[in-house]
This record gives sequence, C-alpha cells and structure tokens, in this order.
Amino acid sequence: MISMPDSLSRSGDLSAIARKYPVKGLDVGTMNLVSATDIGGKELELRKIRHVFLEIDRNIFAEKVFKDQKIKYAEINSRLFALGDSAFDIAKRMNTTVKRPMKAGVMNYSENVGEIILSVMIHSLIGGAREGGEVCCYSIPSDPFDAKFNVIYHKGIIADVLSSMGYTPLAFKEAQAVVYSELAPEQFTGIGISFGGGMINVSLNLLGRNLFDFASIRGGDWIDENVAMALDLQQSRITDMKETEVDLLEPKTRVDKAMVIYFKDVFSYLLKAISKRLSLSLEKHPELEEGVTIVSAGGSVQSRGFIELFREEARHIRFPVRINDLRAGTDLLNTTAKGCFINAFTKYYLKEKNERR
Amino acid sequence: MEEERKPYGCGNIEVNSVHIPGIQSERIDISKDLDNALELILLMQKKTKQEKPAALPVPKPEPMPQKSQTRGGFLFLMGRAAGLVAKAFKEVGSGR
Repeated sequence: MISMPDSLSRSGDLSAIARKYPVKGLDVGTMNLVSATDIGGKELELRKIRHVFLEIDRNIFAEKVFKDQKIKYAEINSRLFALGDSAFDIAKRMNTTVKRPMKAGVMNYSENVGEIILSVMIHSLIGGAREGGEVCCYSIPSDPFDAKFNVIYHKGIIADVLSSMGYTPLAFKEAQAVVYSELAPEQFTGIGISFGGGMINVSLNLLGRNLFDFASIRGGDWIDENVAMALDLQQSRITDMKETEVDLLEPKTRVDKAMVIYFKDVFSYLLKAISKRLSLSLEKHPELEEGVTIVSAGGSVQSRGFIELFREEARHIRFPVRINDLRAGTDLLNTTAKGCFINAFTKYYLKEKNERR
Repeated sequence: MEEERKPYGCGNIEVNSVHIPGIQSERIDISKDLDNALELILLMQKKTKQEKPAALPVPKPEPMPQKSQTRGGFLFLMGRAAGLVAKAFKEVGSGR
C-alpha cells in the first residue's frame, strides 16, 4: 500500500505517489494514437503513432526490404501490413490510400483486421501492464447527436484489448480530458472541445464535473471529404494540405477558400448546439452565469488561422452566458492523452485515500 | 518493439511478427500535469465535504437533579421521600 499524505500542498507529494504507482493515459483517436506514461514521477513520456495501415502485396515488397528500410509493419495471418507513417509513405508511392482501424471516432467495423491492428499498435505504444496490474485510462468519444450510432461497442472493444495486455481499463470522455488538461486555471469550469479527425467532441464541466457532453460527426474527415467533393480532388491530398499548407485567415487558393467555407459552416453548427445545451444547463446551475471559457484541442486546430476563425464565428452566436475566453490548447495533439493520465491519477489517489479511511 | 510474437487476445487471428521501430516519442516535465491533478484532487475533496449532509444537532440532555451534599439537595430529597410516603398512605386508605 502506498502511503498517502493527509494534506497535499505541492506536487512533490504527488510525484512520490506517481513514482510508486505509474498510471497511463491513452488517446484512441481516428487519426492518431497517443500515450502518456509517467516516468519515475518526474517526466511524462508521450508516444505517438499514426492510426493507419496498408496491406502490402508480398510480390512487390519483400519482408527483408521492410526490415532494411526500418518500415513499421506486422505480419498477421501470413499477410503483411505496413503501419503508421510507413503506411502513409508507401501509399503515396503506390498512389493509393491508407486504411484505418477507426472511422468517425469509433472502430471501423468494415475492416476485419482493424481490431488486431489496433491491438498491435497500442501494444507498440504502451507495452504490457507491469506485474500486479496497472490502470490505463483511455479516451472514448461521446454519443453523436447527428448520427444513429452509439459508442458502447467501441468502448467494449478497447477495454478488451487493454485487458488482454494486463491493464485495468478506465474509459474517459475525450472532451472532458481536454478540460482536465487545459482548464485548471478556471477551476475545471468551462467547455472542452476536441476537434478530431473522426468526430468533434464537446463537454461542459462545472468544477471538474461533467454537466453535458456530445459529439458531432462533422470532424476533420467530414470537412476533407466535402472539400474534395466540391473541388473534385483526392481526399488524402486535402488532408495533407490541411495540416501543412492551408491558411484559414488569408485564403488564397481554391482549397483554402473551400476550407474556410466548410470550417465556418461546422463552427456555426457546433456553436449553436453548444448554446442550446448551455441554456438547459443554466436553468439547473445558475453559477454558470459568471461565464465560461472554451478551449479547443485536436489535430484540426493545427490549421493556420483556425482559432481566429472560430472566435469570429462565435461572435455571431447568442450564448446564454458570457464566453470569458476562447482559446487553443497548449499541446494540441497530446491534450487528450494527458487529460486521461490526470483522470487516472486523480481517481486512483481518491480511491486509495477513501479505502485507507 | 521489434520481432515479437504475441497473441494480442484476438481469437484465431495469429500475429506472426511485429516490427515497429522509431516510434515518435518525447519526454516532458510532469509537474504541470501533476499540478492539474492536485487542483482536481483538492476540488473533489472540497466538493465531497460540501456534499456530506450536515450532521443533525444532538440535543443536550437536561441536567438531572443530582445527589448533593448541599442543603438544597438534602431538602429536595426529603421532599421527594415525603411525597412518596403520602402517596403510599393514600393508596392504602383507598383500599387499592
């Protein structure tokens, strides 16, 4: 049993606990898998892998070539699969598109090897649990309000994968992880938004307690797909450009302009949904009248001019409460994994302390 | 992780080999995240205390007349005894 200090005054106390009991955070995203592992109570190791794969014809690429070129791959049921960024590189060379274990924020059920690929990739990030068990807090999306599916099966599959590696799985809403990671200065009161590839997740917290959460399927992929359709271009090319070239503040190219149109549409759609739910929460929690902060994280936020465009759209929406601040997270791709880590650690600490009494 | 053979807990699917070199990795100072956890823990503890129902006030028992060596106490006891004797006589007189 780890000794728990009765009163906590500084993080040094927690550091000692973290050293004795490391927990792990895992962001299970459509585009990326990110892990956050405590190293000796002093450092947090963040590991990342692109959540994509590509089946390779053995007649074209020999396994030896894969090894020599340090390509990430797995041989499953005697079939060869390139993984992560290696899959991206090969897909570009072969002028084809990668496949994904997940789609729209949940497991992609049309990919029959998706689950095993996910399992291999998670294992490559966090390895097996140490002896005696270990908690791994993993992110799950909220149920989408604009699609007819839920996340129950998805949640169960990830829990199974982690259990098979010896972990005690702990599911945590993706957008609440953003709140835990970014809204400490506001006493964990405000709205966390995760703009992921598959879905956009939203959660309103009051002093660290989730008041509502929802998701929308109009995530990064939805935007890329629509821009590609409108301009008759390949979606993978649009995804590539969105991360590196697109400027939403000063759109110059056709792709820039189309991106701005779709981003504005998504912002307006999302902010109206938030405003509506805020009104309902305000009836039960009048303390929200003091105003809330909105913080955004996720891959899409990396686009140049994203947060400025989002602020601009927010000015056109009538919110029932004051928006004190609307800002981007500090570490966009790692926010969710860190939030999961914080949640696992906090839950563990409180549980142990209660059991000790 | 290189060249491992693991069951991966996926039924009859066999993972023959895995070769994943050079995973993108960085190490950052953990103190900010632990500070966040600390804030959250303190907040949760405060909330738990606030949510605990306030203990009902326990009424203080009325002070019982106590045996006393004082004159007042002696007279009280004598009065009480005289009352009991008078009650007993009354009951005998009424034939009960």
